[in-house]
Amino acid sequence: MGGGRVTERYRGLIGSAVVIALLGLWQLVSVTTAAGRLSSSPVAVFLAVPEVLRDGLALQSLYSLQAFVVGMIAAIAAGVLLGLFLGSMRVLTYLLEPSLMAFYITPTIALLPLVVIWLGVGNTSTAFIVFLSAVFPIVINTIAGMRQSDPAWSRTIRAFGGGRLLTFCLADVPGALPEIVLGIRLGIGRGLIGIIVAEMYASSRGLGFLLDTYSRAYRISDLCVVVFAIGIVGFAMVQGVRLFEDRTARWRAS
Amino acid sequence: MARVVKVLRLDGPFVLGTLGLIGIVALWQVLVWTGAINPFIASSPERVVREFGVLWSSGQLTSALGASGIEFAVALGLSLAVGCIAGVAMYASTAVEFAFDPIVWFVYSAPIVTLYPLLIIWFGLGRPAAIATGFLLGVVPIVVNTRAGLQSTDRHLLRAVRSFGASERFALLHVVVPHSLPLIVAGVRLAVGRVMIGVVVGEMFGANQGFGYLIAYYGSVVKATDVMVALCTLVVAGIAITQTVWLFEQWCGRWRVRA
Amino acid sequence: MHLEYPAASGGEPLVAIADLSLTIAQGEFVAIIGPSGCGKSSLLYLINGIAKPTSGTISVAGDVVTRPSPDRALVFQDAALLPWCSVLTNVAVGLQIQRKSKSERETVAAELIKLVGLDGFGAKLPHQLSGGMKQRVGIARALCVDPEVLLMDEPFGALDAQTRQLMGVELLRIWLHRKKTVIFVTHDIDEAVFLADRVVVMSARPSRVIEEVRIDLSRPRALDIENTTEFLQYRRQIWDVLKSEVTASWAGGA
Repeated sequence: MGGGRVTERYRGLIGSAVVIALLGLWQLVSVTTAAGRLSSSPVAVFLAVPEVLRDGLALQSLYSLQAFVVGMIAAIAAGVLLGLFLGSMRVLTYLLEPSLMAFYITPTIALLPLVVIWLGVGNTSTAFIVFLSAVFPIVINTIAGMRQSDPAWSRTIRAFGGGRLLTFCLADVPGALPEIVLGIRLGIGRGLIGIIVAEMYASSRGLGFLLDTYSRAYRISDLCVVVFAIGIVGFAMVQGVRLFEDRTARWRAS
Repeated sequence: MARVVKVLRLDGPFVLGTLGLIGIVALWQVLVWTGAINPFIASSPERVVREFGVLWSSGQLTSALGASGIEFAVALGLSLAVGCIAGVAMYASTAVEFAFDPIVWFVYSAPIVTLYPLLIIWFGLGRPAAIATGFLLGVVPIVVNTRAGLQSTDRHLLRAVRSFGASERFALLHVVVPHSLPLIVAGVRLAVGRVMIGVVVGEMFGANQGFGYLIAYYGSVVKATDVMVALCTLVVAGIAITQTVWLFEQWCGRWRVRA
Repeated sequence: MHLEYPAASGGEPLVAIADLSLTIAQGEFVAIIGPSGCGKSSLLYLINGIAKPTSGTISVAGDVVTRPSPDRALVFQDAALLPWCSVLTNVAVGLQIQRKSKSERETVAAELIKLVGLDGFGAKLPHQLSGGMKQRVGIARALCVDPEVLLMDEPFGALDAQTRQLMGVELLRIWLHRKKTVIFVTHDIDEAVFLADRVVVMSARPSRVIEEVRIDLSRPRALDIENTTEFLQYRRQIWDVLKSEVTASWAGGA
């Protein structure tokens, strides 16, 4: 559909134009309407940046990053290992997949109050929430990857006399790699939401805490600065994983 | 009877899966009995079951179902409407596609929950903000899947139909739509889970009705059992809806060649 | 009825057909043969109207072709059946486009289904059919709209060798029932000689007509005709012409 070759060039142009237009609209609304005045404006947000930096944006980011990284690494390690294990045997997969799906669908954030009781306010709770949020997409996608790993590869290795472990390492795992990386990408997205919300509720440090503070004080411009900061970090992380994902998927002719 | 079993796929994997679920619940109970898990924090299956009865008869669960249910329906309805229209628009016009792409990207990647304070200001505390959150979370898979579904239509089929002199309208109605339906419904299925989470989280932070509110309230007074009851009911409802949509998705795609 | 097009050229910088002129009489069965990629299919699309020539005109029965029409129905190599529709609905698609009533569609389609030998398969879905059966549905679909010209684009190309031969016999049987003008594209010389009244040989890209061979074998033809000396002579004649073209197209990287 559409113009094809010539119009591709305009993709960046039109996209940027729309974004600029929306920002302009926002600026206009903030100056003219009542609700708009409360919602800050691009200019105000821009001006609020130094103030937020002074408030310690960098430091709080570090706190959040700490807990996030710990939770994510745990989730990736546990998730991939569990996924590989469960995915290697049909029976196990059938047995546990519905339960995993049930956990996946549960808003882990709902468990926040209980987690806080158990682990106290602070980094441990938030890291644990990140872990819970991220581990299930990783496990589920790893299992899916194992399942759709082309049996032709494992057959080839076995035909050359490879034992069970060798087949597993050389055929099943690499075959599942794209799905695993996809799962990690989804996990990062969920983990990000998890850390922010967890900190809003259960911590006195970190970006989520900052958001909560600004929110209560109705300091919307500062709030927006933090939101954009989080957005940029999240975007960068997801893009990074996307690049990696493309690389692993490239050798897949399909 | 046999047909019901076949349609609902009540076969081997299903039986195993159910056994697995039961097994995990049983494990939970055992861990509580042996003291490995503190029931004060995590409750136990038997308490949850008992408390479920209490909460149900007191009407709390029904009213929460009603409140959250309405918010869920509204948010999902909005997601469907906006999502489908946007998806079709992006399919029909390259200009629109280029224009909307960054927006779709942004809404998808940005942690919507961080915008929650903003949403409260714009839409009001509680229910409106919950619906807005649900909508924002749910609209993206629908847009993406609708557009992808429409674009994936087999060119050969379109060419064949056009060679008989079919109008664009005919091609759209009779080839593009039936072909893309499974993918679009898949998008709806994904949206269902996300909308549910959005609505519940939205309620947790400011509503005075609904499941989110129940969870937040009971959480704050540390009544783990009640939290679990609310959570489990939520999960069961979520699974039920998702599975129903999935069945419809399978029906829409029944002509698909099994690779 | 005459079919006539002075010259045609397809594609952008790629010249598919250079300078082609062809006249076909009504009721004639013409086979078009040529090396791969020489634009045989493009020719059919031009006649149908779904493709437009860069220069030159195509006229059928005195009318110039400007848009696709069921009067010049196409049968495709991959059958291109709507996978969610039953055989009956697929066959009737052409009539549905013409807004005919349901009862009329179903009666005509049922007739045709019987003609192509698929009686009783009306309710089946395409994925339940074999390759040969799908092609027969495609043929029925084309015949359903009672076209003036039947355009067949390597319809048996995807079938195995035995099925292909049997389908050829089937096609002639169906053709004898309803004497249409048929333009049949193939790369199989035996098939061309067996089926056609006249074989047109196209050159490699950019293509022209380089040879026309009149096949004077009596009808109805049975498969054992392929062993007669005349048949082999025709075959030899065509292959000699084709050989150099195929080598040329290989050199050109087709």
